[in-house]
Amino acid sequence: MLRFAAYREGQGRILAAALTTAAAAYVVWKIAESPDQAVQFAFNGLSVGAVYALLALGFTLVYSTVWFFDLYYGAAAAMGAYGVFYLRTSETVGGNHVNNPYVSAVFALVVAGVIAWALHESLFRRLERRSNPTTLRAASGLLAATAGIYTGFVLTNPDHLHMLLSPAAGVTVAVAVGGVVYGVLQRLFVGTAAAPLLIISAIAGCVVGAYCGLLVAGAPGSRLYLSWIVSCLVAGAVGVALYRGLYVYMRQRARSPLIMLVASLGVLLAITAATAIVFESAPRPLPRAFGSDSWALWGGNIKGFNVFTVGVAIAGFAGLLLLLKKTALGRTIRAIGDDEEVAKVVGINTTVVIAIVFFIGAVFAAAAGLLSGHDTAIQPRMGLLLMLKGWIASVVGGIGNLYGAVVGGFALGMVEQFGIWDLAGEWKDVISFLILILFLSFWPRGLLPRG
Amino acid sequence: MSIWRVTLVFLLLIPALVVAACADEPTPTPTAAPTATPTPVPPFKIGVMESLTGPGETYGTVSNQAKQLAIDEINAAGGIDGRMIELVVEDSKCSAQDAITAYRKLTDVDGVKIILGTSCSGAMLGAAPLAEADGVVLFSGLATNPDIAEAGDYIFRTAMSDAQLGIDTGNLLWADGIRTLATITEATDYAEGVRRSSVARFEELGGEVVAEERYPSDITDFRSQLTKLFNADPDALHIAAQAEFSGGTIVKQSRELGFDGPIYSEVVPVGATALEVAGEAATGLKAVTADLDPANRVAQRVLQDFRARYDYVTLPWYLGSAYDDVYITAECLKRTGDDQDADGFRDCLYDITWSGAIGENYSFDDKGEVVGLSNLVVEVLPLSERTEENQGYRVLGGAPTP
Repeated sequence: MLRFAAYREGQGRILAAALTTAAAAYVVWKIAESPDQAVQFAFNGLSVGAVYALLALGFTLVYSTVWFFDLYYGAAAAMGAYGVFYLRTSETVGGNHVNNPYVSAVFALVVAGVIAWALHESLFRRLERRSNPTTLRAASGLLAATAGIYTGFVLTNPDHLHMLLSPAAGVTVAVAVGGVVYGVLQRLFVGTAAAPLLIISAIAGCVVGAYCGLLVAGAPGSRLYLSWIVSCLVAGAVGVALYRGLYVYMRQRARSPLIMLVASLGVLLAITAATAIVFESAPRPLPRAFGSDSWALWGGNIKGFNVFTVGVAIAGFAGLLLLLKKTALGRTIRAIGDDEEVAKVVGINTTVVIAIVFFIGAVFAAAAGLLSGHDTAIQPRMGLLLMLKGWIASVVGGIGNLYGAVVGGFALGMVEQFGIWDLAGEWKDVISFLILILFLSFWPRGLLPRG
Repeated sequence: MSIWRVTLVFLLLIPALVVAACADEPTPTPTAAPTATPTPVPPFKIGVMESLTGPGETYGTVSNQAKQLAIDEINAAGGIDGRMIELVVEDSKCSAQDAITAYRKLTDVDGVKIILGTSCSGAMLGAAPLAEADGVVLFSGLATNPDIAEAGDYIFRTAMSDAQLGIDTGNLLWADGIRTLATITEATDYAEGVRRSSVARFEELGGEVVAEERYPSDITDFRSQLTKLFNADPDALHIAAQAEFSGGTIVKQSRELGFDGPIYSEVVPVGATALEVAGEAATGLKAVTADLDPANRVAQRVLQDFRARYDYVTLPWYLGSAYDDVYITAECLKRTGDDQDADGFRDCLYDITWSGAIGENYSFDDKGEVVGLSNLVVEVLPLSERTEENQGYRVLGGAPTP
């Protein structure tokens, strides 16, 4: 067995060298033949590569923490895109207005449930000994119900998105600014009593938060971009709900990741089918975002929006890297990925941390979905297609490695483009999946193996 | 345990409920024309097959409504020498199988010998062999597939064949000074047929196709294909699309990639959805399409009456074609005086020269194909000038003949 593996590895090395040389020679020859087309292909590759990279980042994060393929991931991408469509399209589908109270109610319920669970896990556990449990339960129930009703309001009134979201934006900014100011003050004035510092930072937070709330409320043009945030958050909430409602039980009962793979496949297909029923299966455009004009550059053309997508992918990568390497939460996530049992033993609440991982993963997928939707179009099946591409990108890059996810995403985008130089465009998917098969059989650890 | 049993029962009930709900869906019922004055003479019975549900619903519905409009006009004016005409409508959907079922029902149960329909080429090709064998006239205003020309002696249509569209497109390209062409085609029978016949005519005239690409119906990103096409530096791009969405998206992404040459297409990329998707990028797009001539008075009156009665107008040429079919039928019934005389009716169609909504002095050749009609060339207007009335484009005139 070992000898075989070594043999295989040697074979893989020879093949890698041969393939890389051949591909490099081919690309150089082609670039010499038509530099303009090469530049344009490179731009196309960057645009789709950025989406693949975003998908691969989230995929890799989830996979390297729980070690199973969560196929809901694809549905999250479609939900991100369809969320924007749901909130920002006034047209009718099959005679019914797109914005439907029943659909909104479902998502409001999901959000309420997730908030209730989050309160139970975080606040309730800590305050249980100090306060009256009944009061606590009533309070958290009330909070969750309010959050659900608020979500319902936001989803059913897309025309007033900026007004409805301004309080939430204000509060979020106030808490964040207050926290940062408090942290800075604490370091500057070591030894001072906490109360005055708290008051000062609270005032600073309130002022900045109120100002931000006003800004949002007064900007009706920002509704499209607010809908991006809403659909990402909702897709994330559904991810958490699925984790808590489905996967937690399965992880307790059956330890085989295969069962969860099948269950999440069911989730993906169900959500895809439901999307096709509610929104019809025909592809549709999303409302026009900024950057739809293209710039001529070095003999090629690229849209401003594609540059923005690349920026989002890089920012997402940097953010995730900071989170994993520099924060306490990141360390616990990596600990769970290394060994969940040990993490549990040392006192990490693995359920909560994994829920956060699912949330982040779903938000990344939703962002990728809506960016790709704005760039081209949305259709119910897009989730499945994007998920497969994200998976290939993370296999190519090396599963579990964030650098690998970004490299794999952009590499896949480029290979797809340059690969069809002499082939018909229909071969794009064939090339992607051939690459997947090659990598799985010869270099299963990818370009940048997990350290 | 009992709660689980109740749930199980509910779960089992769901499919049953769904089935029941589906069964309750209103099926299109044959609509009889209201008789203006009760007469002792039984009315002429004419069969109609349209795709009233399913994928061809838009076409079938507008065609059926135009026929009802025409038949009500004829009956209100006293019918044919005092005899009314009654239309027996069946849903042929957009498939050969459903067309055969509808055909059997019309001929066996209702005993009609003259059928107006169908709305889809597939349905037409399914029912045509039966009609040909039984000696029943099948007369369509909408089916455009070139194969229908060879379907038989009893098969007629006022719809122009896609082959004609290709010839007109090839001529237009050449007349506009296009010498090198790139084509992008959806991988469907219709789009492929349009491309083949257009390119055949274009090459016959001396043009050259420098690059061609095909795409499957479900993709939304055409940039890699378009990049390759534009790298061949063609004078113009030709789009043959089956779905409006892909047609519009290709136009949009072509402009995003910096292509500033002219773009040519058939009817699909100038549809309402396609123009909405493409936006300003579609400005100047030229399409060869069957459209009603703004100078034709009958056509304008029909459109006005149709809008007044149904409160919308779509697919104007097909509407006019369906409308004309009823009047041609009425004229032939007047000549034969018998709705069971399919042979007489057939000879009348070979003989007739008609002027109606879709054109003047048109007739049928020995294959039952309409002659004397031509496609129009339309050009998409800038975004600011597009209205619901002009449907986003202006008519440049008939397709040129070099």
